Amino acid sequence: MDCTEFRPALSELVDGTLSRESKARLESHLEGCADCRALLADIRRIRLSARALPKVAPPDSVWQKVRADFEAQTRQSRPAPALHFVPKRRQVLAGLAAAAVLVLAASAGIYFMTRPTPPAAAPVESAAAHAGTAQAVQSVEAELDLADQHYEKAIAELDKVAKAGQAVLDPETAAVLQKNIGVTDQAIRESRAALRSEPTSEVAQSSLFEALQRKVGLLRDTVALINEMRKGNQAGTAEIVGSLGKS
Amino acid sequence: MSDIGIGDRELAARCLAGDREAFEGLYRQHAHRLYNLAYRMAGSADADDLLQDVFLQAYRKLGSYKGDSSLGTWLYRLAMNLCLDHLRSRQGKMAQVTDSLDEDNAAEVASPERPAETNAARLDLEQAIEALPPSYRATFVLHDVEGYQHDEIAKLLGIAEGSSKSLLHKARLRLRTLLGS
Repeated sequence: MDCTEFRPALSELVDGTLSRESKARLESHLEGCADCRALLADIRRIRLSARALPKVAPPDSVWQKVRADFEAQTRQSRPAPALHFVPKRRQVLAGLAAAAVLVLAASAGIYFMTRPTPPAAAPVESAAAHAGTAQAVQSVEAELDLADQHYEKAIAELDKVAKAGQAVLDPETAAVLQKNIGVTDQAIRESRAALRSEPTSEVAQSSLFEALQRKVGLLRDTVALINEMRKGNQAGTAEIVGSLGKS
Repeated sequence: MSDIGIGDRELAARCLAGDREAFEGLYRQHAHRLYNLAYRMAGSADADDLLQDVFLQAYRKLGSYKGDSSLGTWLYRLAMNLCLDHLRSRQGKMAQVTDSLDEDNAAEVASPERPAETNAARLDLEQAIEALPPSYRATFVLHDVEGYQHDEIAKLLGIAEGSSKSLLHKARLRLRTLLGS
């Protein structure tokens, strides 16, 4: 009798996942096979021992470290948004955008007056260069769109939370917040319009992402303010309201 | 805790907004379960650091949380990936875990006349688990220690359900050998 045929089913028998037919065949084999019975008993013992392993609790010191990390991250992200991945993403995009601008300048002789260092190489016109440039620009645009979507997603989430809790804000504070958000929305619209007319402009790209960052920051402050007001923390509330006036 | 009962998406948004109370709520709610996973996967010496890293990474990646699964599941998957990364780097075999998740090299079966209980004292179960290859360990810890079902394990590890069953069986055979040798 070939035990290797039955051994993989032993675990399933222990776990109760074996079909009725397979179970009947295996049990029939087990009646005449002491080796497989011994193996089955060991698997049962191991399973029981594993279930009986004690649960362990994390020491308090871990929370202290996690809290310190969290505070360091949120400090780093002020006044930029708490979405740490977005600025990182943006750094990559800025590099890509700068590279694309250089490719454009070198291949087509386009000179961006906003750039401090003009390209040293003489412009070279060629079909291959144009193709490369177009590809680079498309790639940068796709990356920028992606980053834009990340911001929009974060803004939508924060906006939802802010709107849900807005009832606790006093009318004057709500008006200040609304005004600031309106100004930021206008800046976002203008930056988008500038980018549409000049998609490779680093200045327009920076303006758009700065405006998006400002909006995330404002919404974040709104949520923080709502939290402080819910907790009845007057000092915390006053601090945030004060910072809103300065922004 | 004021955050208990609020929606996962709202909790994620509040954490992203820098709300410390919300982040502490997230930690208190999930740290215990994640710590046990890290403890069993990486061992007691590295569990603290891994748990810290899980929450640091969670904060950084919360922007990608879409609410498709619960935050608990999202965190657990993140923690499992970090544990596997940790084991990979510890072993210095970068591709081994992924490759071995579906590997079909059955562990040697201990001879039945030397059952596990005979020499169990020589190597207790916790130590034996630490000696398992990452894919065996992940499957065994999730199923036999944490009580997950094969369909859940398959989703967590990105493998087929049949592979999960096969890996579990091989892990048990390897443990039997380790405990009985």
